[in-house]
Amino acid sequence: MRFIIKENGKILVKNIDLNDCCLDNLIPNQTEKYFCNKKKEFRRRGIFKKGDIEVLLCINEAVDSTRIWKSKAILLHDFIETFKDLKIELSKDFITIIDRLTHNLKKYNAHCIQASENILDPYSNSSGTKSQIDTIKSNITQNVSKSSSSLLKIIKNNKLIQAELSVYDRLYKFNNEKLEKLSHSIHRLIKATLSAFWDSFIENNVVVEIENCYDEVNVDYETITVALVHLIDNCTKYTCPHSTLNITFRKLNAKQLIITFKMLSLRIYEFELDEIFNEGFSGELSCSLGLNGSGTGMYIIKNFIELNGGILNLKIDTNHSKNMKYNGSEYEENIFEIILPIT
Amino acid sequence: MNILNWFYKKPNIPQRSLDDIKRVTKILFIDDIKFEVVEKISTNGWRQCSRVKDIEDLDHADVEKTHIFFVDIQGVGKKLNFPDEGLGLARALKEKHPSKAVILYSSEGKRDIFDNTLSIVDARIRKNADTYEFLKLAEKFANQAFSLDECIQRIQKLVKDETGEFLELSLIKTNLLKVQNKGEIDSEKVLKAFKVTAQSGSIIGTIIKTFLTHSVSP
Repeated sequence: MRFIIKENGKILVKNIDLNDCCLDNLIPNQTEKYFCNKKKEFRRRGIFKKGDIEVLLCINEAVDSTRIWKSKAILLHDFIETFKDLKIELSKDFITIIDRLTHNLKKYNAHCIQASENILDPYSNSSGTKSQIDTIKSNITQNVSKSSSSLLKIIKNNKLIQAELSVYDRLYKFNNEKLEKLSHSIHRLIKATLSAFWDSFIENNVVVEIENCYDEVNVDYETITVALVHLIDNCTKYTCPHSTLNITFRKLNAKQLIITFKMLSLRIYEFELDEIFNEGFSGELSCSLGLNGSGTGMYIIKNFIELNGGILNLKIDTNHSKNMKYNGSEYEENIFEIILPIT
Repeated sequence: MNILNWFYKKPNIPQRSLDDIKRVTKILFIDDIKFEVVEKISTNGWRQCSRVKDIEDLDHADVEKTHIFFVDIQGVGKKLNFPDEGLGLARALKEKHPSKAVILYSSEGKRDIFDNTLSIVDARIRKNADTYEFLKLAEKFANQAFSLDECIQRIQKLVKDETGEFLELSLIKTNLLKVQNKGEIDSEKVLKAFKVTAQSGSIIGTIIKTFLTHSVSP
C-alpha cells in the first residue's frame, strides 16, 4: 500500500518517494486500475477527498474492487483525522512547556536587569566606554553593600536561568544524552550552590550551618546542581525568618551518603506528602502566601536526584513539637534527606 | 645493584601528581569567538591551554601536540569545509587521532541530538556550563593520558576488546618499557608485546608514547 496524505494541499504523511510516484494528476474521488511499470503488476490508484484531507492511495490487492480500495482510503482518512487532534493536543502541551520556560526566564531576567541597573543606570549621563567604567567604579565604591548584594542577585538569577535551561533540555526535549558521572566533593557542590543564594538568606535573617564533609559522590554535575539549586531556592523562600538551616552529612553505609537539610519552614500538611513531588503541585500554605511557583520545583528535585541514582526523602514533624507562627503563617520542622552514591 | 647501571640512563615509569599532569597537558579550544572559560582554565594551573579560531590542517604540529580538544559545534570546521561545522571537525579529529580526547560543546541542542558524532567523541558539554565542569572534564581526560593507572586501564580495555584476553598490570608495566627503542616507540614491538592487530597496536603505541615522552618540566 502506497499513499500520500495531504491537508489543504500540504503533505502530512507519505510512504512513497515523490520523485518516483505516479499518484500525480489523478482526478479526486475517482479510482482506476492500471499496470504499474515499475512494480510490473496491476494496481489500483486514486484520490479520496473529504474535507481538508486528501488521500492519494495505490494498492496491489483486490485491484478489481473499487469497494476495497475505498474502504482502505476511508480508514486512512479517519486515522489522519484523529491524528490531527493528537497533533493539536501535542502542540498545546508543548506550548505549555515553552510558556513556563519563557515565563521563568523572563522573571529571572527581570531580576538580573533590576540588579544590574543598581550598579549602572543605563540612562545616566555618562558617555563613552571609559566614563561608563568610571561611573560604575564610583557607583560601586559609593554603595558597596548595595552593589555587592546586586551582584549576588545577578549570580543567583543566572544560576536559576542555567537550571531552567537544563531542566528544559533534560525533561522536555527527548534528550537521551548520557550523564557525565564524575567524582565530586559534595561539600563543594553544596557550598558553590549556596553561595549564589547568600543574599536571599541574609534578607530573611536565616543562618545556614553546614557541617564539614570530605566525602566524594559519584554524580552528574549538571543535573545534581539543578536539584540543589531548586532545593536551596525553596529553602530561601520557605524557611522561617530568623531561623537556622542545618546541613549535615552522614554515611549510611560504604556506598551511600545521606545529606540532611533540616529547617523550620512553612508547614507541609500530612495529606500533601503524597502529592508534593508531583508535577504542577503547590502546597496550600505556599499558595496562600503567594510564594508558589509553577509547582515543578519538588518534582524536579526528586527527578534529578533519582537520575543520579539517588533518593529524596521528606520527613515532616508529625508530633508538631516545633510548630510555631510567624507573621500569621505556620512553620514546622521539615527535613529533606538526599541519599547519593559515594565514589 | 650493578654498578654498570649507574652509567646508563635508566628508563623508568613516570609517577605524576595532578599538578604534574596539569603542567604537561596541552588543551586546545577550537572556537571562532572568544570564550572566557579558556582563560579561567589557564589560571587554574593548566598552563598549556589556548584557543584557535579554526583548524586548517589535521596534521599541523599544534594538533599533533594537543592532548585534549574542546570543539565548539558552531562556527568552526569551515576551513576544512565540513558542512556540519564542529561536528565534522570533531569526527575528523577523532578518526585521525583516536587516542586524543575530543569534547564537543555547544549552546544548541536540537540539531545534533541524533547525530552519531556524539557517540564517537569522548564527551559533550553545554556552553553555559560552569567553568568547574570544564575543569573536571580536562582533569578526567588528562588523567587518561598521563596517569599510569588510567593508561594501563585503557590498554587493558583495548586488548580485551580485541583479543578477549585480560593482561595483568605487571605485564603491561614491563611491556611499557620494552616497546621503546632509543626513545621512540617501536610499532613492531608493540604488536609483539600486546599481540594485537595494527589498528589497536597503533592506538596503544600512541597512548604509551604520550604517557612516556612528556617528561615533567621543572
